[in-house]
Amino acid sequence: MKNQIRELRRALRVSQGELAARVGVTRQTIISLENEKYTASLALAYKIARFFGCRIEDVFDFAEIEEEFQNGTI
Amino acid sequence: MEQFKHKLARRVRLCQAGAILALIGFFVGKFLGTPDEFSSGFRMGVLLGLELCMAFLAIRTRRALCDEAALKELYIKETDERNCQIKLMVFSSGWFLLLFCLGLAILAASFFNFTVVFTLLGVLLCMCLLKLGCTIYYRQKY
Repeated sequence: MKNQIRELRRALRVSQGELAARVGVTRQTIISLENEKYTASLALAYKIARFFGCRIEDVFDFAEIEEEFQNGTI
Repeated sequence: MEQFKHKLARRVRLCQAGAILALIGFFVGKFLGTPDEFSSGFRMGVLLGLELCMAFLAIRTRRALCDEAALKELYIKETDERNCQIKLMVFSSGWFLLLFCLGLAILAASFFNFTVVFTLLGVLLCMCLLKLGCTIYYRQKY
C-alpha cells in the first residue's frame, strides 16, 4: 500500500531503526513498508500515525481502496 | 512485557529439562548401546545435537531475561507482525509441498520396500490428522 512514511520520517529526521523501535517492529518491517511491499495491520498503522502526529489517512494512501469501494469491486 | 518474561522463563525451564533428558538419554544409550553401530551412532548424534541446541537456547534466553535492551530486542523480533506473517505463509505453503513430496516418496518406495511405504503412509496420515486437528482448533478459536 502506498504511504508517506519515508517522507514523514525524513521530515522529522528520524532513522528507520528509531521509528521501528518506537512502534515495536523490526527495521526490516519499516523498510518493507516504505518500499510498499508490506501492508501494515490496523494497530501498526495507528501507532505509526500517532508517532507522526497525523491521521492514518494522512500516512497511508487509501485511494485505490476507495475506488474499489465506490465501484463495488473486491 | 511481563507476560513475555514469564513466557521466556518457562522456555528456559523447558530447555533445561530437555537438555537434561537428552543428556540422560545420551549416557543411557552410550552404556546400554545396541549391537548395530550405525543406529547407535545416529541416536548419539541426534541426542548430542538436541542437547547443544537446548543449551544454546537456554543461555540466549536467560541472557535476554537479565538485560532489558536484549529483552526488548527479542520481544520485537518475536512479535514483529511481518515476521509472523512470513512464518504463517511459509508453514502454509510448505505444508502442501511437504505432503506432495511425501506422496512422491511413497510412490518411489513402493518399487523397493513395502515397510518403508507403510511407514511413510503412517507419517502422511499423522500429518493429515494433525492439520485437520489444527484447522478445527483455530476455526473454533477465531
